[in-house]
Amino acid sequence: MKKKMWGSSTILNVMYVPALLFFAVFIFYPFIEGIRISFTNWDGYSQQFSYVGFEKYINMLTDKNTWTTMSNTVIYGFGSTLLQNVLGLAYALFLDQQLRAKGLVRTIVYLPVIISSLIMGYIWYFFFQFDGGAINDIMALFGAQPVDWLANGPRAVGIITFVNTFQFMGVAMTIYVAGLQSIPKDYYEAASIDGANWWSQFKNITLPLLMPAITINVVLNIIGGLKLFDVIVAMTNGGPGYASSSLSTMMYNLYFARQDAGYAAALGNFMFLFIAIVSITSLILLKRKEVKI
Amino acid sequence: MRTLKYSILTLIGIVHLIPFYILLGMALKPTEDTSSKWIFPTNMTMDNFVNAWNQAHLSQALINNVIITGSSVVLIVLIGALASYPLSRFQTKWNQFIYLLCISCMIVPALTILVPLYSMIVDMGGINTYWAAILTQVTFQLPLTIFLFTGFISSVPRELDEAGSIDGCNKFMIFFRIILPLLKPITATVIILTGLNVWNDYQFSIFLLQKVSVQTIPVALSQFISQFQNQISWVAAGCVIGMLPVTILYLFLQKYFIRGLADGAVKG
Amino acid sequence: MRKKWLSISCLTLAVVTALTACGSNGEGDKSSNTADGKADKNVTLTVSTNVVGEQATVLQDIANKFMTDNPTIKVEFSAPGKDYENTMKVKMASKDMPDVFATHGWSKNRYGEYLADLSGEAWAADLDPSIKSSVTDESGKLYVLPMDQDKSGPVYNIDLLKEYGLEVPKTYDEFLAAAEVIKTKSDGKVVAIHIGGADAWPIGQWFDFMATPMLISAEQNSAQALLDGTFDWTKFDELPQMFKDFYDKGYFNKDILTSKYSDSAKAFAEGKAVFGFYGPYFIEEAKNINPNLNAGLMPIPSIQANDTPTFAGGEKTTWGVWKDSKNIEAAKKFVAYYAQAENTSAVAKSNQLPPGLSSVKIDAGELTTYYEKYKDTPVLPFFDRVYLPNGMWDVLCKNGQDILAGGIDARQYSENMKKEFERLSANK
Repeated sequence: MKKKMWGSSTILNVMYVPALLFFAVFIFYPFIEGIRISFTNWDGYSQQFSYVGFEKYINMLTDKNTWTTMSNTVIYGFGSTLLQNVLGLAYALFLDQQLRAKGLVRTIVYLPVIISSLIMGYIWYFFFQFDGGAINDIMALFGAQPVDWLANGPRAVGIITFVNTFQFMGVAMTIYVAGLQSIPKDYYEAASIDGANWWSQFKNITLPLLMPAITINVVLNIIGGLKLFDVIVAMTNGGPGYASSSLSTMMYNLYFARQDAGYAAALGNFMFLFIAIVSITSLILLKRKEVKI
Repeated sequence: MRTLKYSILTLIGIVHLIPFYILLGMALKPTEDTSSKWIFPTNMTMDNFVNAWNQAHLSQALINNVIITGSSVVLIVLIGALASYPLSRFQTKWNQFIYLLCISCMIVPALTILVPLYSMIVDMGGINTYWAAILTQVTFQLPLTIFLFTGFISSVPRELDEAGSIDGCNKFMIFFRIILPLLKPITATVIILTGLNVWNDYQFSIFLLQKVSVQTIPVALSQFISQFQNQISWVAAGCVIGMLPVTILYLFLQKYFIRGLADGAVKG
Repeated sequence: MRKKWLSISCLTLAVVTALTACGSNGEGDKSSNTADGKADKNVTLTVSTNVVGEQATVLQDIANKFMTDNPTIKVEFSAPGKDYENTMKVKMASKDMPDVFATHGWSKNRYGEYLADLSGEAWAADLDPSIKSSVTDESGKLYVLPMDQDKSGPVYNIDLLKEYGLEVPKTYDEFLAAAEVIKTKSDGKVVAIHIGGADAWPIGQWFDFMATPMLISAEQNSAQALLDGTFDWTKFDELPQMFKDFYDKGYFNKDILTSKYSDSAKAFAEGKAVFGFYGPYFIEEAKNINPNLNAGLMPIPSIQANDTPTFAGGEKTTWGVWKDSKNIEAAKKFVAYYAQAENTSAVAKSNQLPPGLSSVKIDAGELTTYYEKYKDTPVLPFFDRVYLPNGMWDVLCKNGQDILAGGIDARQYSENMKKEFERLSANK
């Protein structure tokens, strides 16, 4: 019966044709060109190049910088996803209570999103700078020796993950606040009558009903984190060497500075495939966990 | 307990304001003042604002930003909402594939497509034009828009569509008469998230908008930083100027923003 | 309610479309009006430069004067700052170049195939002999108008050098001795050289300077071997080792890996560093912070026995004309305007460099005395521009960071250089 009513809904598919047209012209076509470039030794600007087959992909797999970069990218991606969600949820829970001025504080937590990440990176660079950096200034007050925070690769990766989290946790928080508000209050009342404590309410009511919000946040944060670029450029430029570079910054470096556009394109395609697999898998897995009310 | 909660609240507020304090300090300090970033400028100056405003032609840049962001957002919302309806209502295998295709457009690294995209826009005569910048921005914000809208629409009860079809609406009318008006809250969300991305976009704008007459704020400010010269305090001032309009817009849309997410998207 | 919302969104759409349409129409009208009004054909020249700040203002002012003198030519000036090179690469790839553009040292090797031959221009005869080889090739093609010529070497803080009782070092050994004196006398508070290594290129600058005395300027040199690709890269090991040793002895700033160029300028301005391995422009940047800074320019110290100090030279501020420009005549006219004595002089002065045309007198402000003093010092081209294929710069920089961070040693540095050298040479 229902089937019949919606039988020929295929006609409605024409509604996504405009969007697909946009994608076809501005993304698919250039993307296919990009795949072609990855099989050349093009330098990124001249009119001469030749096809070199899979050479650039082999370069990529044998370059030790690729693997440093890869592990950094994974930390940026999963690290900031984890931090943004844990902190975002904690903030959302805290700011969901009856408190005065909570609206103001929510706005403040969201504000960093408004600044471009490049500028945000510069601002935080002034915190972690060695000479005259804001943190070393405070440490000097307590007589501690200044630390060159960003000189150490793994530490720089951690700091950048933190900065990225700081900037975008406002989005996660806002999505969680909205999610919390959509949970009917009587669920909690019923649970209280049954004598459930805070933790079991959180585990049995809040978390399952927040799954849709978690899906949105996790997918958006994974994609954002794995593609991280601006903050890194502003804070360390991927350095020292490649110690804090991400796939995005390495690709940029290969493309423009090293003039190895073929290699950059190969890395870009690899990066696309990697992020697509990770994010679409998590999207499908998380969707399955969502419960319908 | 209450005092504790309010102390935490204050602490959160202060911690998250620190970067803005530093930014404002940079914008207000004269270049020669190299005192600690924590010290608020003792001899405050508006020079950085004046210089940034004049040298980067920020009045023109602001207009360009408004035109490009405004038009992009309108198109993003319209095209995104249209596309999301069939994708969320009729989840055939084919449509699920299209949905994932849209999501993967979010993942494409900008740099792999930059040169082919640029060459194509050159051939279309679109360099230094509003329309090419707008169409590019729309394309790159659509995936996120579709992601949010589809989530929202699937939470709108199907009974509404069915009621509409009994009333004699055809399938398109159902969308325009019944679904579209319900999208108001999520639209606020989409406007804020995508609008910000377009407003702050640098990676495409730096290539597509090089003439002063079409430059946006991030592009205009980039001329203060070069290899051999830095006017970081001018950039800071320009950044404050660029932030103001969006902050106001955010405050205005904020109440819809949270509701938008509460009403639907996050209900799945 | 429902209707109201719909109509509002439609209205916004209409208004915005109207606005955009107006924007583009407005411009279209302007150009067509003027075209109708005058008998002469109006042209719009697009001009692009990597230069920003004070120097860009000088270039812009001359362009404005040019427009007053040539009312039929409109000049669209763009200065994208740090992304100039990248935007130009994308433009080259798409064969969509500005009519006139700056080549910042790469007129032949990078931009060559896109540049028109300017050897037929009247000003070509006035080209200063010392810059000529940098901007012309064997066939006689003249690539750009060099308005000034680089004469680069380290800069130093005159007052600090006096305070520590030091002379300007002529050899690297003297330089090391001076660095040791600075370190002990200042109790580690002042460093010999400050490098903003987080920006990467300042490290490359050190290598670029020091490679010349190491490999090129001495009587026994590797210049030819580098050019014909037979260079034995183990000979290069010494250079990164020198760099590393200098760091290990504490002569560089401790935060060399995380500080930026702007931090270098700040440190130099505040008297926390004695030398800057940048170029004359560095003095100006530091003076923005401390206008009372007393700084001078010196040649690059020699390394090999019996060698003398040298300057690094080549093109700096240039204009080239796109060979496929639709307005090639107007573009040449524009370039010729900058070749006028007063304009070339103004540009060279703003960079505190000698002019690129012999018809123009040198006026490099406070630095003039140094150019006079060292007028017999040989000027050799920047090492990377001649002896390394285009694209090696980043290898110098990134490996320089890596060796300080302990990721590689001097041998691996040279190995990486060799690998990229061969890849990029093969592409040519």
